[in-house]
Amino acid sequence: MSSNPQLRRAVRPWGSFSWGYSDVGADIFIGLGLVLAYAAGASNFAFLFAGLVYVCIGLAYTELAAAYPVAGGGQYFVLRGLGDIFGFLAGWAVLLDFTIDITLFAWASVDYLSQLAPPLVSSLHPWTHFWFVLGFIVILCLLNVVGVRESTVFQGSVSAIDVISETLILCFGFLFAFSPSLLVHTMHVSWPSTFALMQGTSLAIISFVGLESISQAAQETQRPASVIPRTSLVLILTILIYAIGYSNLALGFQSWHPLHDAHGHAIAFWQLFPGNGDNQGKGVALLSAQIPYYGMLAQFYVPVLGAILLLISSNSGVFGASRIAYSMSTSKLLPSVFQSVHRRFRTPAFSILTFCGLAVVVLIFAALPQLDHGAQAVYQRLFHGEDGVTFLGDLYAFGAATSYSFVFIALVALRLYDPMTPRKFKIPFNIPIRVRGERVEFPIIGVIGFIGIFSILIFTLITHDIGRVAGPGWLIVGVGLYLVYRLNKGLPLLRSRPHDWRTAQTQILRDAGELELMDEYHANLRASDERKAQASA
Amino acid sequence: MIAFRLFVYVLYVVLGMIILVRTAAFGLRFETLTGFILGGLLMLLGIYRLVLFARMRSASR
Repeated sequence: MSSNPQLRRAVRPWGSFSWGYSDVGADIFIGLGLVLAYAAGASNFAFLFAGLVYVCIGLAYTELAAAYPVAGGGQYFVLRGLGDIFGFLAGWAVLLDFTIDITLFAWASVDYLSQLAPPLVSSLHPWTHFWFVLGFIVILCLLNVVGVRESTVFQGSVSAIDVISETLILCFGFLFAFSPSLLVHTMHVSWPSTFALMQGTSLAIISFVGLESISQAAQETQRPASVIPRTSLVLILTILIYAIGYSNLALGFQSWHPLHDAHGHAIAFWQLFPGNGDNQGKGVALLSAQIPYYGMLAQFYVPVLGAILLLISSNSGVFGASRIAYSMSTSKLLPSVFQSVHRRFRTPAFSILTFCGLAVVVLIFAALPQLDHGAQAVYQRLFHGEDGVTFLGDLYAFGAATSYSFVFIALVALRLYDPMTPRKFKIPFNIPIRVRGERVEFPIIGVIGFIGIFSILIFTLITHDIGRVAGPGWLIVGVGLYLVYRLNKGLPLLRSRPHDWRTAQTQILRDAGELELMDEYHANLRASDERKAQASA
Repeated sequence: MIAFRLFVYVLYVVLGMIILVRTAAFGLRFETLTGFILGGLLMLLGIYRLVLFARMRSASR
């Protein structure tokens, strides 16, 4: 066994795509119902706005993951571009996201199963629903401690079936059930208030969360600088199409079977979601069941497919949290206990148990209003009665918007201060400028993306009562722990400790097998050093 | 498998065209904007994947 164990680079283009897809692709299964509930007739615009921001984020991750193919993801990019304290903040926000991811996706997985098994319906049988979600989290925790991960073949197969299913739903939906005139009518009649639109837009971003998986896959991908940009662009386009496609379809959808509310009045499809927490968690299952012809088959297998995909995504939260904590610990941003591995299973058991434990705490907080009437009254008074899935969505959106904001700033910083690293993929639309004697390219898309994601962060803080308190609270607690840790270790509190990024980058490119890029990097460094020497002479 | 993949890529292009045509019937207005974008994106994805596929086939020969 090697004294310096490395991840094996065995992931090929389809593996890289399915890795990202099984994480990001599951998001629309939750996002659709939530956004329809709040943004109503403007849901397609909420998805379009969040989707455009997501394209910018995706391009940023693609450039950074191809240039720095390491598993740390956003946290590593920010550490490298902005220093230790901001690297910690970005990583801590990602950890919040992964922790919420565990609970939210396990919760939605049970919601999808409830489509076929009514005893799992959250509002009717809250305790059964709670025990099932808790059971899923505990099982995922144990599987990760023991070291069992779903195989790449299984993940790839589920992704392939899902891509085919979602495409067929779009095809049959747009061919047989979509009415453009109904879409126009719905948008006219049911356009939401500005507050609700902001709320819907902030929730729409959760349909695009999971880009960390692109960079996580980078460390195990063969020739990442070539493969990552290609698969990422397809992934970004595919996810964007599903989000805009489903929201347009839902607003202009003529149901195969008439739909009625609790009082027997006929309603449009999208009206199934406002004020109905049970339906919000299983939007795609409800849509697929109403699709003409294909719905006869889809109503039985889409809930199961959705539940599996969501469970894989929940598992990626368990796995991702432990990996990010490990990466942060090696960068001296978290205590070394997060690097410790189980003696027998060789897995980061402490990290896994910590974040699964936090996920259970979050679950209790989310489920409490349904489980206890007294708690429901308190939530009603303090948080305007947000239900469990919306509460989880709030925090998920907050964590994602915070970490992505830092990633955009890091993208700009790395363009300005690390122009020597070869970028096989570069975001288009740049302004050439000179910084410290070096010619660099300032990324306009990076600035646009930052404005977009920062506005979503503001929307989240304005419109979500729980997200406004719990999100910043998580960051404040994290900064406190960080300062105590750094103080105990005698490390700089707000400044960064010294890093040898040149050696680190050479090692990264060598490990990635990108030897041509490594040579190009060394040539760039030599040329830069010569220019500086000439200038000083 | 190759035939199936090609079928899916062509399906993207055809579906994109259908959505564009149906949306265009309502003219260019605020409510049809997302329809035009969706149709365009579907066609773009289909064509992009077909081009990638053609490049890989020609490179392997």
